[in-house]
Amino acid sequence: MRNVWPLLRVQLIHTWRSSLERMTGTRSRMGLLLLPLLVLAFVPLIVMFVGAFIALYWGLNQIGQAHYMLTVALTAGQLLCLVFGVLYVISVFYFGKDLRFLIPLPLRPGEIAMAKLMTILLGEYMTMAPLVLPALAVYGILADVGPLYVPFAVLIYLMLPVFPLVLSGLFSLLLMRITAFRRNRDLFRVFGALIGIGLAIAIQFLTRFQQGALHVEDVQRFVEQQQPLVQGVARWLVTSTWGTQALQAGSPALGIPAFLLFTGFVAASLALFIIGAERFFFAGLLSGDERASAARRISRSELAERTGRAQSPLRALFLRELRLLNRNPTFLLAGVATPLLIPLFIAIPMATGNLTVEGFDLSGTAHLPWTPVVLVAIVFGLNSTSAVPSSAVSREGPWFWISQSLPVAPRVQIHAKVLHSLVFNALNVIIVAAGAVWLGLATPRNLLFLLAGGLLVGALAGYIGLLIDVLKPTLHWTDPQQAMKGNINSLIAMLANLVVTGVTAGAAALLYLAARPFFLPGLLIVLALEVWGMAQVVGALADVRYTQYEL
Amino acid sequence: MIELLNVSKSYGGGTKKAVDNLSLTIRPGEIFGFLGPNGAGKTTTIKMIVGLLRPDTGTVRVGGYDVVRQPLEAKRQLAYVPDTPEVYDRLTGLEYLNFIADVYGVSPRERQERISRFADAFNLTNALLDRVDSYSHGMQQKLVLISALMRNPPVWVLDEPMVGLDPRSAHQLKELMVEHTRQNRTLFFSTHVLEVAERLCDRVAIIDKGRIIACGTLDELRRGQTGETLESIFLELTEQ
Repeated sequence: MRNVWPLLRVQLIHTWRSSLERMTGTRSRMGLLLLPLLVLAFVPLIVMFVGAFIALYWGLNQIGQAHYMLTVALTAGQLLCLVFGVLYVISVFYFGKDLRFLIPLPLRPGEIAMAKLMTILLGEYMTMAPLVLPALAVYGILADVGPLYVPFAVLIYLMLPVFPLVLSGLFSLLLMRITAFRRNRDLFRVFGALIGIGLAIAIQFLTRFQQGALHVEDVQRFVEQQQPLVQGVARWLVTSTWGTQALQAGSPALGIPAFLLFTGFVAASLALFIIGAERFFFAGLLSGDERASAARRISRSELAERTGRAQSPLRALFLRELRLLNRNPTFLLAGVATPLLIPLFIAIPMATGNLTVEGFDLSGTAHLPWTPVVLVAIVFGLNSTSAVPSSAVSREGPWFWISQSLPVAPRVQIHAKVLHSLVFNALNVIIVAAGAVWLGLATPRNLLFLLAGGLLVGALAGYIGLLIDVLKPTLHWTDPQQAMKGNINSLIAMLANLVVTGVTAGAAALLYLAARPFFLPGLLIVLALEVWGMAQVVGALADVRYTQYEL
Repeated sequence: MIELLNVSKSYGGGTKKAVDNLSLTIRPGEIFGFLGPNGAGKTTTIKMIVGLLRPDTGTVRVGGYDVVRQPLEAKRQLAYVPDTPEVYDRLTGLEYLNFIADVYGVSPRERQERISRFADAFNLTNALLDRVDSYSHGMQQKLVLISALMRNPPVWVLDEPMVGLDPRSAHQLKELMVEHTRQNRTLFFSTHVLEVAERLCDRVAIIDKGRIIACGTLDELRRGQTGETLESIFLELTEQ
């Protein structure tokens, strides 16, 4: 195990640099300045957890089980590590680009696995922090803890993710050994994304039950209802029970044995992990890296048939965009998940009765002049969340040289990209139309305006997204995720869309005041002019910028 | 025909000169070899010829068209094969070839005949329905070569075209290169394989630190040098 430290050092440097680049969207050291802002973004979540733990503490204290709060927090933290750990471990252990350099080195599988596990561990400290640290702080302040509480709390926090990670690691090692998951990275990504979406929807369902502040009765009810579940999980993640006993207020004589048990168990689990890695890590790795070929030979007649049709350059470019996005789960999920999930998240509370619309007679507003405008504005809002246009140039990445060397004007290539994003934006028109039908707003006038205006704002959002991406695309990436999630162009495009919404709303208000009978047709003309103007600007910009990008 | 007139290109805000006041004329019917050590400016020069990089100063013309002022016309004149053949990994080989044929306006009859001929020549026919991400480096190189050659443009610009090719495909490519120039068309290619350059090229240029240090036929290059082979001339010139 003497090679673990130099390996870990290199892994940490690489992880730190790539994480910083991914989080801040820049390679510059100036990106460090953005880190405090990112931490600030978690403050509301931490405040929420602190409030919940204080309520939980006092509620449990009344029934003499205040320490149970620690079990809940430690178990929840470990559960988080366990669930995300599997995806994290598979991603780092089996899809890391460094493997091709590491495997030929004279390193034992256990050494590589150990170094990789340690880097994941650091990530898990961040994942657990907003959940576990508030609980440790709340208990430390409110309970009558002894002098060993702080050192024990620090050490337990540091060791807490080890056991669930070892479980995730062993599960992943076995999974990759017996399945061909590694050969299909796309399948793994879809699996990961589905888990994320499932969790998000589950949270949405669960949060509808939490209305207002947490009261003592709620806590007692929670303890009664959830105790078997927490105890059941804690029985498996046994370290959270020993961690609680070590930290629990009372005599240090009781805490020290529990702490030693905790530490010994963590050390034993690490040893087990090393044995598992020695046995299964390389075997799973060597199950194949290449994609299998279709193994279907093409006949002369089929080749003649498949090459016997010509298409216009615009159609060919449009099809290229469609195929490249649809066949890459990272691109597809990042591009369409948000616009599809937002209506779902709005619909869940409505359907489950929390945000009831029964009290509102929305059909009464169907004939108001602004109603179809609001519907189109909602479509535009949904369009703004799509990363499809704002990453359209970035997605080309290493293949951008092809677009640069084509004898097709960049402006035409941009129009093809907008046409492609329009396909996705048209989905938003359908979603909003369905919403309008549900809410009783679907008059012929509203639906007609929604269709015409929806397509126009679809093109408008497409050109705005492309404007941002043409100005500063992220072309240097090795992983598709960098082109999507590591690309702040989507965020900038959302802000640009907001500005255009403001300008259009101003124009609409003027039209309404100055020429009311002409309000809706006039607004469509305004939108059409915006699309035309934006198409000219982005087209001209692309003609210049395409020659300036240097790969 | 390719013309480069006083072309310069710098990186890093002008601090590193990759190509320094380079002038070259490659005539129709000529195989022109472009040689030089790593980092000498070969790929930068090639990227300026095909319009992927804009020269800081100077003019580049392909088939009489200015690459900066008339980029689309210039691009129609040439076929370019880069040193690293990165192709859309989610398309099949055939989808990629059809895409290129569509945007270059290759007629169905021509593409049927040429794709079939070149895919057979490079032994890629049976992989045309596979996705590019299942291709080896050599297969991707062959796909890019086919996509370039099927358009049959008057100028070929090939950056290290033999890298990754199996001996049979490399031989096929050399045959096609000779055939291309026999039709009074232009071929400009860079290579590190000096034997290939020595055997194929009508003229060669050696670039070092962004400047042309020698240009001419092999006989012209031998004058004033002690070496006989292109390798010894190359070593002699680039050591100075």
